[in-house]
Amino acid sequence: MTFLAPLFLLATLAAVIPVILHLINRQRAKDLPFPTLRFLRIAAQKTRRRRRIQDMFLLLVRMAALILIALGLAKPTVTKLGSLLGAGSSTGVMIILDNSASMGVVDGERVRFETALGAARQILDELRDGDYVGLFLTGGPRFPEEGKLDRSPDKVFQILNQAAPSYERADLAVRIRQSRKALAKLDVRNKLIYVITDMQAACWEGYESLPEGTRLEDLDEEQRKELRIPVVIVDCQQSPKPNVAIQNVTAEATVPVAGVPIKADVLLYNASSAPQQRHLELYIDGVREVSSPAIEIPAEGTKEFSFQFRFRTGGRHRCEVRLVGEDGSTMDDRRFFAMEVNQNIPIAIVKAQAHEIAYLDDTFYLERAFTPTSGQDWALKPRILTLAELTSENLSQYLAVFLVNVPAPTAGLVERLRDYVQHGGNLVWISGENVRPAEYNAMNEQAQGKLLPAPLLDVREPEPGSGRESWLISSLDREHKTMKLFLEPATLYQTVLVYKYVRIDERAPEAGGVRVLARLDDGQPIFVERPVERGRVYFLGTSAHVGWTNLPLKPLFLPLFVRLSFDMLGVEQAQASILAGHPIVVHLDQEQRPSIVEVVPPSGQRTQLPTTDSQGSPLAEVRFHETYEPGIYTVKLLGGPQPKERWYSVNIDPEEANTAKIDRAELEKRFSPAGLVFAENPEDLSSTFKLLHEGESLWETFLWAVLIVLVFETFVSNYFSPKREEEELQYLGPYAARRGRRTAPLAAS
Amino acid sequence: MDTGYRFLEPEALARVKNLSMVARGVVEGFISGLHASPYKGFSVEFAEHREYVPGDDPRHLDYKMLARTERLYIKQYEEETNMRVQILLDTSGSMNYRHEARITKLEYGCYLTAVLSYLMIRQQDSVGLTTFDTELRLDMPPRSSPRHFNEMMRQLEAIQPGGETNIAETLHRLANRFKRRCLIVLISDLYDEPEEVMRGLHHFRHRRHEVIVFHVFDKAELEFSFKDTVAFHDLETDERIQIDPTYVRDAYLEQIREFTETYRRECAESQIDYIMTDTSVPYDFMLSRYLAKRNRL
Repeated sequence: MTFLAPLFLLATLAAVIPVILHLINRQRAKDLPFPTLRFLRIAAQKTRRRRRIQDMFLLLVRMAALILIALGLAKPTVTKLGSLLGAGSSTGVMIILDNSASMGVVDGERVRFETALGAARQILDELRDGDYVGLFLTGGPRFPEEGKLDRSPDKVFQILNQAAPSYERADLAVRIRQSRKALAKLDVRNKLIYVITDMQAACWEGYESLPEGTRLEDLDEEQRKELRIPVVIVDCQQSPKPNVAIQNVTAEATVPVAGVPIKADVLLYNASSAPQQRHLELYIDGVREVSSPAIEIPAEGTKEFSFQFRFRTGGRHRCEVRLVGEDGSTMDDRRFFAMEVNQNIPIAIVKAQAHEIAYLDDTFYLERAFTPTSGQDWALKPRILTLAELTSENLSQYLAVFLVNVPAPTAGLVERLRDYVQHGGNLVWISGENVRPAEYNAMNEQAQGKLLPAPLLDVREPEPGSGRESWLISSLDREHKTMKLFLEPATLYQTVLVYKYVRIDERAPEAGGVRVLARLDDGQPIFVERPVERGRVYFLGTSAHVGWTNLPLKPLFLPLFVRLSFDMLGVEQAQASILAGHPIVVHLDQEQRPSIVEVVPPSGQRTQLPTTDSQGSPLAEVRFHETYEPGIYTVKLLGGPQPKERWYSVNIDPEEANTAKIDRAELEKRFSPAGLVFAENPEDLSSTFKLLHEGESLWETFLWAVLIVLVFETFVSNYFSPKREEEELQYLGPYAARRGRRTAPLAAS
Repeated sequence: MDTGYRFLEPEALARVKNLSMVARGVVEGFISGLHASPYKGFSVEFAEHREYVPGDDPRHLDYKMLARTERLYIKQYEEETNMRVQILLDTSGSMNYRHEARITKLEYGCYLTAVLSYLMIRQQDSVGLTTFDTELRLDMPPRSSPRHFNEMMRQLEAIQPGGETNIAETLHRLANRFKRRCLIVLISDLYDEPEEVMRGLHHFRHRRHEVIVFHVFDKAELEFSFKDTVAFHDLETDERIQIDPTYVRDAYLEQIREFTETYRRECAESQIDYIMTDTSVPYDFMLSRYLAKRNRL
């Protein structure tokens, strides 16, 4: 407790007045004769102790009343802050202004952030000459002067004039800690932290309370110094306008190829207490592609909506989902994502030679599997080549090269095929009569083992009299992303008959890493693959024509090869998604290091980041922190052997849509034992300032206390005094009332 | 009409003029016929008639009067009409107290003495006066002559309050003094040890004297209605005590009650008339009521 008019405390000396009066009364006692003191002496002795106690009690009560009056006149105040902002001494104030995305919500008549700015300006106006002030924002671009305490509020005003709501979530705990540290170093008597926020629970997640029962005395000096700084919370959330937000968008492309349908799931959140209806629009590269029907979102609930769309062309695309309709905040009505798709999937199908009769071509069935029905767009773009034509073909343009029943290629082609695989190509060998295991093995050896998944053994067909006419495919690789699609029904592959096949030596040392995609019922692998550097090599032990197997005639044939081709793509489907305010982290390939990383944000302002430190040592990663605006950020890796470009979508934190407030009691608990004050009205902080300077007035309390004491004194004093009624009955004279009747004294009988 | 005596007021006399003080029980000279007069045979002259009371010796009935008046009368002789009354008046310092009353306790006692004496003389009884405090100050034996009465009145007017009280010893001394049976009237505030005082009174009773005690107070002593803190000083010892009366009142009154009750009870047991009065009650009124009641019994 403190006193605003401490001089009045001298009035407590008035408490000695009853004592003095008591002493004076004693000295001024009237002198009276009395016949005998014998009874008075006995009576006085009997009542002395009781009288002393009563006298003392009444004396104390009267002194207490005078003391309470004096204390009340001294204007007592109490505050939870530990100390008041006394006049005449400097104050250090740190303002933490929450400019997270939720502060952009329309609250009442205006945007919440405008209310916050108004509150900040009120605080600045309240400062006196000599006071220190600093400002922290919780998000957005950092100002150089942020967090610095200065005697002049000009810099803070400048920041306020430029500040705006960001797309980030606020971390108030960090700012409070920074503020405490900054103020603790300041040599002023009064220190204060203002937190102007909408009390969103998510902003306080990082602020944890001290262990229960911790007192300030239990902490070290530095912690005590910091925790003694009181915090004033200015709550700007009052009556927010109903708001719906796009919380998340996930895009899934099973086949990331232009023309192939893609699904985008949009998650909507309604923060208001009444159901809302909205529309969604999907924009691709700035052009509206799809609009949704009206979507009903339940109160304080979520709703999912799925878009189906296609990319018309291959390449990277900027996609945006927009929420249509006016609501509390426009900042959470957009969400970005980026996708890269191929225009189509170019594959090469190579045969030994062309036949005049198409049916006789080994690639007949395969061509038809890869060629769409005429008139329709098809993701796969097959090119039929002969082995001879392949020698002059640019292999890098093809996703996959299917070599169907070709003799072992020449040395030159082997080299080219090896290079193709090493650089990410997919080579699929399909057996036939022209496949001679020894020649293939020699070819593979020539290519340093990089053209075949495993050495070939021999050609096998059922022995006469063995009772076997063919083999069945008995099992598929259940974990393989292509093969697992054909596990059900089992008849899909178990009806495939293999009459003749090339045996593969899966156990050979050169077959390290080989994966068996399908096996025959004799346990022999019939379809294998192996990764080779950046590419993959496959070998199908049987043919793609009906000579060696009935596979081409089975329903499995077409989808198997088409799916296999799609799965060979391996392209990043959706570019990395990051929350606003979080850094873009680019890991650098040490072997193919770029010399410069250039980042282009949605605004177009390029920033170049070095890939070495100040000492010239190569960095393992670079970070770009200025992800303040939502949109697609392009990261270009330049100066390396192979320039690359990556896209990152930056979006608002989905948690910002949830404006649920933290409970005040919970906040007080977390701040305990530090002082915490809640400002009631962000539009007018005068009562808060008054509380900080004067504390909570106890004058009325003291006045009530005085009244109660005086009434109590009256009752007690009356209780201690002999009663009038008893006085009359005490008369013992001749006409004393006996049982209420006045009688004359009786003579002794 | 002024009586010529300070302590004999006409109004008081008027009140008691028709009253008489009749001895009760054994009194020397009382012609109850129960005891032979020691003066029998010597100058015993017929003095007057008096009405017959049960217990009188029927030999002294005057049958002539009976025939004449049809009422029973006893012939009284000179000696038998001479009731001896000795008034013992406490003149100690405590009797000199007056708070708001017109007169002090001592003056009250004097008035009472005067009217009682008058009554005795008028009914041709003997009355004597003894004043005392720690010592006997005045000792006038009972006489019935008017000159004696005058002297008594003069002595009353000259009384000065004395020092401390010593009733018990005085009573013992006096009890031995009175050879002949008397009616002893003690007028005092009895501020002495009740046990000792009663012993003294018992001494009188033992010697077959009749005793009447007038216990005199000032109203202030009985009410103790003092308000402010007072420094009381003892009239006899001059000791002082400063107290707040409001806080000791109850305890004080309890003491007084106990004090008077002790005397009342002890006197009743000893067949001693005990009359408690205070100076606010007119003495004549008090006395007339007492005598009327006494005479009815």
